Amino acid sequence: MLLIQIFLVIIIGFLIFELFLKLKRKEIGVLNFCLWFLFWSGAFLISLFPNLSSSLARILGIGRGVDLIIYLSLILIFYFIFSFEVRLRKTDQKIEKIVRFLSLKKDDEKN
Amino acid sequence: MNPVRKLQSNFLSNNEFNKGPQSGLSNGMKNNLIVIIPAYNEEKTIGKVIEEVKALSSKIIVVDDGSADKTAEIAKAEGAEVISHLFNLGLGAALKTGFAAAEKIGPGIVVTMDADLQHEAELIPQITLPIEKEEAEAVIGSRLKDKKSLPADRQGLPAGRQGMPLTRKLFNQMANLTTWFFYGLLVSDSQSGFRAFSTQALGKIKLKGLGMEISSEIIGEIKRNKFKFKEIPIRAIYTDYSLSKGQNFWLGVKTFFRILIDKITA
Repeated sequence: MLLIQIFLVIIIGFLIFELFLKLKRKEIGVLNFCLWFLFWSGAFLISLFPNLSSSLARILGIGRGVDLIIYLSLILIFYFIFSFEVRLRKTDQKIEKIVRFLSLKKDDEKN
Repeated sequence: MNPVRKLQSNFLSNNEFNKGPQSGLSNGMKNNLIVIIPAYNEEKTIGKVIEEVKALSSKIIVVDDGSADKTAEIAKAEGAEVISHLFNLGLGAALKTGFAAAEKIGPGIVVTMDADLQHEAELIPQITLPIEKEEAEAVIGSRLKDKKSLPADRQGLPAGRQGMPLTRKLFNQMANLTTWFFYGLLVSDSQSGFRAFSTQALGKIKLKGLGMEISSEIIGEIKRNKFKFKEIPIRAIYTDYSLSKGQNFWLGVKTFFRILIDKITA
């Protein structure tokens, strides 16, 4: 077993442990938990058995297992950026409403 | 005679629109004419803008969008109603606050103008006339439209002022195409801050954006509500000061993505 594999297994194992804690503390919903659990357990398995990713890549017609992981990670990261952007925008709009309400109220009081 | 009045009468006397019914202003201000000026750190120019607009409007609302300078104080001293945001939110948010305040006042015409002196107050009657004559519910003052219909003395530029630089013209055309792509209405100046609406039309407009994307969104709302719509040519008057503010290329790219996200998540 390579050193990097040991590191990855420990880190991912810890993240999965935390995920269970979060579910127990009801900080995340069941659906959210399942998605993350699938993701991290997949990462866990691939860290333990790197050849898994290579065979999966070959089935999909991608050259190397590492490439497959990079493609998937990129898709995921872009998705997160997008969803953060959407959420940020919604938050901005809420803040805007509060500021407008206060400004107009103050203006009404003046008149 | 007030110099602004004098300019206005000079201007109207050689104006083709002048043949129609007289404006509400000369009828003793039957209509509310509310001018909304969104301003963010515009202490250098806001006073002059209000001074020029005062004689031509029944009310001026300056939306101070969290300015750190004396914008609000100066505007107040000049006699405008000042509505201040707690902190800076952006052009779109400021305009919407102005619209909300204007709608409370009652029926009439609402004009929006920039606070950096790039718009000529004397053109307000020209911008509002199509609404008074009920030929339009929304009017956009276009810096890029053919200026031949402007009076001869307004086709050039005043001494010491400059027209729209080429890069800005190019940028504006890109913005027009973007607006057309997203909202399906091709106009000659989608980013113009000089506009007029009837309050009735304003009540139907629904806007999301906080920033510069608001200009394109307004065009989209004109299309969605099928407003009767007119573009009136105006002069673009730039100073180094006004060029240092306003849109730039990266802000444009950011604006593009904001519209994209709004469209996807709508």
